[in-house]
Amino acid sequence: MSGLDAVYLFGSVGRGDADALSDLDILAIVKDGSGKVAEGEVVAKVPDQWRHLTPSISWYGRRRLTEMFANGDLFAWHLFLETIRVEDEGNILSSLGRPAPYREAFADVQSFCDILDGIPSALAQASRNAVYEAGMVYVCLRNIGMAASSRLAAAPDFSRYSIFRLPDFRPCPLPPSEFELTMRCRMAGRRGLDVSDRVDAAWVLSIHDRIAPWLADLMEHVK
Amino acid sequence: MSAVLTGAERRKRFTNRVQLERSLLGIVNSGLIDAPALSGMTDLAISNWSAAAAKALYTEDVYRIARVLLEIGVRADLVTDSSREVFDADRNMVGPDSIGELSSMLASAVMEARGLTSAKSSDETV
Repeated sequence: MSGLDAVYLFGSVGRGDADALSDLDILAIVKDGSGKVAEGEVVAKVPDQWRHLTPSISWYGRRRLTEMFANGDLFAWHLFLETIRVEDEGNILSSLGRPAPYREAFADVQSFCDILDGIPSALAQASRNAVYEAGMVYVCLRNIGMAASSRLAAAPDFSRYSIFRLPDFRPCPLPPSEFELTMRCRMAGRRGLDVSDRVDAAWVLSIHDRIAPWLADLMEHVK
Repeated sequence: MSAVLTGAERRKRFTNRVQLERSLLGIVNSGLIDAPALSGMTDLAISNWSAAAAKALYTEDVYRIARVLLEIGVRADLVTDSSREVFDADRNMVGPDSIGELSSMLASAVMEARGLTSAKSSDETV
Protein backbone atom coordinates (compact mmCIF):
# COMPACT_ATOMS: atom_id res chain seq x y z
CA MET A 1 0.00 0.00 0.00
CA SER A 2 1.41 3.38 -0.96
CA GLY A 3 2.35 5.89 1.71
CA LEU A 4 1.26 8.73 -0.56
CA ASP A 5 -1.85 10.50 0.73
CA ALA A 6 -2.14 13.60 -1.43
CA VAL A 7 -0.51 15.55 -4.25
CA TYR A 8 -0.74 19.29 -4.88
CA LEU A 9 1.02 21.74 -7.18
CA PHE A 10 2.27 24.99 -5.71
CA GLY A 11 4.82 27.69 -6.55
CA SER A 12 4.51 29.50 -9.85
CA VAL A 13 2.22 26.83 -11.30
CA GLY A 14 -0.11 27.13 -8.32
CA ARG A 15 -0.02 30.89 -8.73
CA GLY A 16 -0.61 30.71 -12.47
CA ASP A 17 2.53 32.59 -13.54
CA ALA A 18 4.90 29.76 -14.49
CA ASP A 19 7.48 30.55 -17.16
CA ALA A 20 10.42 28.85 -18.83
CA LEU A 21 12.52 29.21 -15.69
CA SER A 22 9.93 27.65 -13.41
CA ASP A 23 10.16 24.31 -11.70
CA LEU A 24 7.10 22.20 -11.18
CA ASP A 25 6.73 22.48 -7.41
CA ILE A 26 4.90 19.45 -6.10
CA LEU A 27 3.68 18.94 -2.55
CA ALA A 28 3.60 15.24 -1.70
CA ILE A 29 1.78 14.50 1.54
CA VAL A 30 2.83 11.14 2.87
CA LYS A 31 1.61 9.11 5.81
CA ASP A 32 3.29 10.16 9.05
CA GLY A 33 6.40 8.10 9.61
CA SER A 34 6.27 6.37 6.24
CA GLY A 35 8.97 8.46 4.55
CA LYS A 36 9.13 9.20 0.85
CA VAL A 37 7.62 7.09 -1.89
CA ALA A 38 9.10 6.65 -5.37
CA GLU A 39 9.23 10.02 -7.12
CA GLY A 40 7.75 8.42 -10.23
CA GLU A 41 4.61 7.60 -8.29
CA VAL A 42 4.12 11.27 -7.50
CA VAL A 43 5.06 12.64 -10.91
CA ALA A 44 2.74 10.14 -12.62
CA LYS A 45 -0.22 11.92 -11.04
CA VAL A 46 0.70 15.30 -12.55
CA PRO A 47 -1.60 16.37 -15.40
CA ASP A 48 -0.01 16.37 -18.85
CA GLN A 49 -0.11 20.14 -19.23
CA TRP A 50 2.66 20.55 -16.62
CA ARG A 51 4.74 17.48 -17.41
CA HIS A 52 7.28 19.50 -19.42
CA LEU A 53 8.46 21.32 -16.29
CA THR A 54 11.20 19.90 -14.10
CA PRO A 55 9.59 18.39 -10.99
CA SER A 56 10.74 19.47 -7.56
CA ILE A 57 8.98 17.51 -4.86
CA SER A 58 8.50 18.70 -1.29
CA TRP A 59 7.66 15.85 1.10
CA TYR A 60 5.56 16.44 4.17
CA GLY A 61 3.62 14.32 6.63
CA ARG A 62 0.24 15.43 7.86
CA ARG A 63 1.58 16.01 11.35
CA ARG A 64 4.29 18.40 10.16
CA LEU A 65 1.83 20.29 7.98
CA THR A 66 -0.52 20.62 10.92
CA GLU A 67 2.31 22.13 12.97
CA MET A 68 3.18 24.56 10.19
CA PHE A 69 -0.41 25.73 9.87
CA ALA A 70 -0.68 26.10 13.66
CA ASN A 71 2.57 28.12 13.73
CA GLY A 72 1.47 30.39 10.91
CA ASP A 73 4.55 29.51 8.83
CA LEU A 74 4.87 31.47 5.62
CA PHE A 75 5.02 28.22 3.67
CA ALA A 76 1.68 27.22 5.21
CA TRP A 77 0.20 30.47 3.92
CA HIS A 78 1.63 29.76 0.50
CA LEU A 79 0.00 26.33 0.48
CA PHE A 80 -3.25 27.81 1.73
CA LEU A 81 -3.35 30.53 -0.92
CA GLU A 82 -1.66 29.11 -4.00
CA THR A 83 -2.05 25.41 -4.63
CA ILE A 84 -3.67 23.30 -7.31
CA ARG A 85 -5.17 20.09 -6.05
CA VAL A 86 -4.10 17.02 -7.99
CA GLU A 87 -5.20 14.28 -5.62
CA ASP A 88 -6.36 14.42 -2.02
CA GLU A 89 -9.10 11.93 -1.27
CA GLY A 90 -8.85 12.63 2.44
CA ASN A 91 -9.12 16.39 1.99
CA ILE A 92 -6.02 16.74 4.13
CA LEU A 93 -5.02 20.24 3.10
CA SER A 94 -8.48 21.73 3.35
CA SER A 95 -8.97 20.06 6.73
CA LEU A 96 -6.09 22.13 8.10
CA GLY A 97 -8.12 25.28 7.59
CA ARG A 98 -6.65 28.76 7.59
CA PRO A 99 -3.10 29.08 8.97
CA ALA A 100 -2.50 31.05 12.13
CA PRO A 101 -1.31 34.62 11.54
CA TYR A 102 2.27 34.91 10.31
CA ARG A 103 4.06 36.89 13.02
CA GLU A 104 7.70 36.44 12.08
CA ALA A 105 7.96 38.96 9.25
CA PHE A 106 10.36 41.38 10.91
CA ALA A 107 12.57 38.64 12.36
CA ASP A 108 12.67 36.88 9.00
CA VAL A 109 13.54 40.07 7.12
CA GLN A 110 16.26 40.84 9.66
CA SER A 111 17.68 37.33 9.41
CA PHE A 112 18.00 37.50 5.63
CA CYS A 113 19.47 41.01 5.85
CA ASP A 114 22.08 39.60 8.22
CA ILE A 115 23.02 36.98 5.64
CA LEU A 116 23.33 39.69 2.99
CA ASP A 117 25.49 41.72 5.37
CA GLY A 118 27.88 38.79 5.48
CA ILE A 119 28.59 38.94 1.76
CA PRO A 120 31.53 41.41 1.85
CA SER A 121 33.46 39.39 4.40
CA ALA A 122 32.55 36.12 2.68
CA LEU A 123 33.88 37.41 -0.63
CA ALA A 124 36.98 38.80 1.05
CA GLN A 125 37.74 35.27 2.18
CA ALA A 126 36.73 33.54 -1.05
CA SER A 127 36.29 35.84 -4.02
CA ARG A 128 35.69 32.87 -6.34
CA ASN A 129 32.44 32.18 -4.47
CA ALA A 130 30.90 35.08 -6.38
CA VAL A 131 28.25 33.01 -8.14
CA TYR A 132 27.17 31.44 -4.85
CA GLU A 133 27.00 34.82 -3.13
CA ALA A 134 25.05 36.30 -6.02
CA GLY A 135 22.64 33.41 -5.64
CA MET A 136 22.29 34.23 -1.97
CA VAL A 137 21.31 37.77 -2.96
CA TYR A 138 18.42 36.24 -4.89
CA VAL A 139 17.39 33.88 -2.09
CA CYS A 140 17.49 36.64 0.50
CA LEU A 141 15.67 39.25 -1.61
CA ARG A 142 13.05 36.66 -2.56
CA ASN A 143 12.41 35.75 1.06
CA ILE A 144 12.54 39.37 2.21
CA GLY A 145 9.99 40.27 -0.46
CA MET A 146 7.63 37.54 0.66
CA ALA A 147 8.00 38.31 4.36
CA ALA A 148 7.76 42.08 3.97
CA SER A 149 4.76 41.85 1.66
CA SER A 150 2.88 40.00 4.39
CA ARG A 151 3.19 43.14 6.51
CA LEU A 152 2.83 45.79 3.84
CA ALA A 153 0.26 44.31 1.47
CA ALA A 154 -3.21 42.93 1.91
CA ALA A 155 -1.90 39.43 1.29
CA PRO A 156 1.61 37.97 1.08
CA ASP A 157 3.15 38.11 -2.37
CA PHE A 158 4.94 34.85 -3.11
CA SER A 159 5.93 35.72 -6.66
CA ARG A 160 9.54 35.82 -7.84
CA TYR A 161 9.39 39.60 -8.13
CA SER A 162 7.69 40.40 -4.83
CA ILE A 163 10.67 42.53 -3.75
CA PHE A 164 9.74 44.97 -6.54
CA ARG A 165 6.06 45.13 -5.62
CA LEU A 166 6.09 46.24 -2.00
CA PRO A 167 3.32 48.79 -1.54
CA ASP A 168 3.91 52.14 0.10
CA PHE A 169 7.66 51.80 -0.04
CA ARG A 170 10.17 53.13 -2.54
CA PRO A 171 11.26 50.71 -5.28
CA CYS A 172 14.11 48.30 -4.77
CA PRO A 173 17.22 49.96 -6.28
CA LEU A 174 18.40 46.78 -8.00
CA PRO A 175 17.40 46.73 -11.70
CA PRO A 176 15.28 43.68 -12.57
CA SER A 177 17.90 42.62 -15.13
CA GLU A 178 20.50 42.30 -12.39
CA PHE A 179 18.00 40.60 -10.09
CA GLU A 180 17.38 38.07 -12.85
CA LEU A 181 21.10 37.46 -13.15
CA THR A 182 21.26 36.72 -9.42
CA MET A 183 18.41 34.28 -9.99
CA ARG A 184 20.42 32.54 -12.71
CA CYS A 185 23.33 32.38 -10.28
CA ARG A 186 21.07 30.61 -7.80
CA MET A 187 20.02 28.20 -10.51
CA ALA A 188 23.68 27.64 -11.33
CA GLY A 189 24.21 26.69 -7.72
CA ARG A 190 21.15 24.47 -7.54
CA ARG A 191 21.06 22.86 -10.94
CA GLY A 192 24.63 23.23 -12.13
CA LEU A 193 23.69 25.55 -14.97
CA ASP A 194 26.22 27.82 -16.64
CA VAL A 195 26.12 31.48 -15.78
CA SER A 196 27.37 34.65 -17.39
CA ASP A 197 31.01 35.72 -17.21
CA ARG A 198 29.73 39.06 -15.91
CA VAL A 199 29.48 37.57 -12.44
CA ASP A 200 32.44 38.41 -10.25
CA ALA A 201 33.07 39.56 -6.70
CA ALA A 202 33.07 43.24 -7.64
CA TRP A 203 29.62 43.00 -9.17
CA VAL A 204 28.18 41.15 -6.19
CA LEU A 205 29.71 43.69 -3.82
CA SER A 206 28.23 46.53 -5.87
CA ILE A 207 24.80 44.93 -5.49
CA HIS A 208 25.32 44.65 -1.76
CA ASP A 209 26.34 48.29 -1.50
CA ARG A 210 23.34 49.47 -3.51
CA ILE A 211 20.68 47.50 -1.67
CA ALA A 212 22.03 47.69 1.90
CA PRO A 213 20.69 51.21 2.68
CA TRP A 214 17.34 50.35 1.09
CA LEU A 215 17.07 47.17 3.14
CA ALA A 216 17.92 49.05 6.35
CA ASP A 217 15.04 51.41 5.65
CA LEU A 218 12.76 48.51 4.76
CA MET A 219 13.50 46.85 8.09
CA GLU A 220 12.47 49.98 9.92
CA HIS A 221 9.33 50.12 7.78
CA VAL A 222 8.40 46.52 8.51
CA LYS A 223 9.18 46.73 12.24
CA MET B 1 6.64 13.02 17.33
CA SER B 2 8.77 15.68 15.71
CA ALA B 3 9.47 18.77 17.76
CA VAL B 4 7.82 21.98 16.68
CA LEU B 5 10.49 24.24 15.25
CA THR B 6 10.39 27.83 16.44
CA GLY B 7 11.00 30.67 14.04
CA ALA B 8 14.28 31.45 15.76
CA GLU B 9 15.46 27.86 15.35
CA ARG B 10 14.44 27.85 11.71
CA ARG B 11 16.36 31.04 11.03
CA LYS B 12 19.41 29.80 12.93
CA ARG B 13 19.45 26.60 10.90
CA PHE B 14 19.38 28.46 7.63
CA THR B 15 22.13 30.83 8.75
CA ASN B 16 24.29 27.88 9.79
CA ARG B 17 23.66 26.19 6.49
CA VAL B 18 24.79 29.27 4.56
CA GLN B 19 27.91 29.50 6.72
CA LEU B 20 28.71 25.86 6.02
CA GLU B 21 28.16 26.22 2.28
CA ARG B 22 30.33 29.34 2.19
CA SER B 23 33.10 27.51 4.00
CA LEU B 24 32.95 24.38 1.83
CA LEU B 25 32.81 26.27 -1.46
CA GLY B 26 35.66 28.46 -0.26
CA ILE B 27 37.84 25.41 0.38
CA VAL B 28 37.28 24.19 -3.17
CA ASN B 29 37.31 27.50 -5.01
CA SER B 30 40.23 29.08 -3.18
CA GLY B 31 42.22 25.87 -3.23
CA LEU B 32 41.75 24.97 -6.87
CA ILE B 33 42.15 28.20 -8.77
CA ASP B 34 42.86 26.39 -12.05
CA ALA B 35 39.49 24.67 -11.94
CA PRO B 36 36.15 26.33 -12.66
CA ALA B 37 34.37 27.62 -9.56
CA LEU B 38 31.92 25.38 -7.75
CA SER B 39 28.74 27.35 -7.13
CA GLY B 40 26.55 25.04 -5.07
CA MET B 41 26.33 21.86 -3.04
CA THR B 42 23.57 19.99 -4.84
CA ASP B 43 24.30 16.77 -6.67
CA LEU B 44 23.66 18.47 -10.02
CA ALA B 45 26.00 21.35 -9.26
CA ILE B 46 28.71 18.97 -8.05
CA SER B 47 28.23 16.70 -11.05
CA ASN B 48 28.53 19.53 -13.57
CA TRP B 49 31.49 21.01 -11.71
CA SER B 50 33.23 17.62 -11.80
CA ALA B 51 32.86 17.36 -15.55
CA ALA B 52 34.33 20.82 -16.07
CA ALA B 53 37.05 20.45 -13.44
CA ALA B 54 38.25 17.19 -14.96
CA LYS B 55 39.54 19.24 -17.90
CA ALA B 56 41.92 21.10 -15.59
CA LEU B 57 42.74 18.54 -12.91
CA TYR B 58 43.46 14.85 -12.73
CA THR B 59 40.21 12.99 -13.16
CA GLU B 60 40.79 10.76 -10.16
CA ASP B 61 41.35 13.82 -7.96
CA VAL B 62 38.18 15.43 -9.18
CA TYR B 63 36.21 12.28 -8.49
CA ARG B 64 37.70 12.04 -5.00
CA ILE B 65 36.72 15.63 -4.25
CA ALA B 66 33.29 15.11 -5.76
CA ARG B 67 32.72 12.04 -3.60
CA VAL B 68 33.61 14.00 -0.49
CA LEU B 69 31.38 16.87 -1.55
CA LEU B 70 28.46 14.54 -2.15
CA GLU B 71 29.06 12.82 1.18
CA ILE B 72 29.06 16.19 2.89
CA GLY B 73 25.95 17.23 0.99
CA VAL B 74 24.09 14.18 2.23
CA ARG B 75 25.37 14.30 5.79
CA ALA B 76 24.76 18.02 6.16
CA ASP B 77 21.48 17.75 4.27
CA LEU B 78 22.44 20.49 1.84
CA VAL B 79 20.69 18.84 -1.08
CA THR B 80 17.27 20.40 -0.71
CA ASP B 81 14.64 20.93 -3.31
CA SER B 82 14.57 24.43 -4.68
CA SER B 83 11.05 25.22 -3.55
CA ARG B 84 11.51 24.66 0.13
CA GLU B 85 14.82 26.44 0.32
CA VAL B 86 13.08 29.59 -0.84
CA PHE B 87 10.91 29.33 2.23
CA ASP B 88 13.84 28.65 4.49
CA ALA B 89 12.38 25.33 5.49
CA ASP B 90 13.61 23.45 8.48
CA ARG B 91 16.40 21.08 7.68
CA ASN B 92 18.57 18.85 9.78
CA MET B 93 21.51 20.83 10.99
CA VAL B 94 24.84 19.12 11.18
CA GLY B 95 26.69 19.57 14.47
CA PRO B 96 29.85 21.66 14.88
CA ASP B 97 32.02 18.56 15.30
CA SER B 98 30.76 17.09 12.07
CA ILE B 99 31.29 20.38 10.25
CA GLY B 100 34.91 20.38 11.28
CA GLU B 101 35.35 16.77 10.34
CA LEU B 102 33.69 17.20 6.95
CA SER B 103 35.64 20.34 6.18
CA SER B 104 38.89 18.59 7.05
CA MET B 105 38.03 15.73 4.73
CA LEU B 106 37.39 18.16 1.90
CA ALA B 107 40.51 20.23 2.60
CA SER B 108 42.61 17.08 2.50
CA ALA B 109 41.17 16.04 -0.83
CA VAL B 110 41.76 19.52 -2.26
CA MET B 111 45.32 19.63 -0.94
CA GLU B 112 46.01 16.27 -2.50
CA ALA B 113 44.65 17.49 -5.81
CA ARG B 114 46.79 20.62 -5.62
CA GLY B 115 49.92 18.55 -5.13
CA LEU B 116 49.12 16.28 -8.02
CA THR B 117 48.10 19.24 -10.15
CA SER B 118 51.61 20.61 -9.74
CA ALA B 119 53.02 17.26 -10.73
CA LYS B 120 50.76 17.17 -13.76
CA SER B 121 51.95 20.62 -14.82
CA SER B 122 55.56 19.52 -14.43
CA ASP B 123 54.91 16.40 -16.47
CA GLU B 124 53.37 18.42 -19.23
CA THR B 125 56.38 20.72 -19.49
CA VAL B 126 58.80 17.83 -19.97
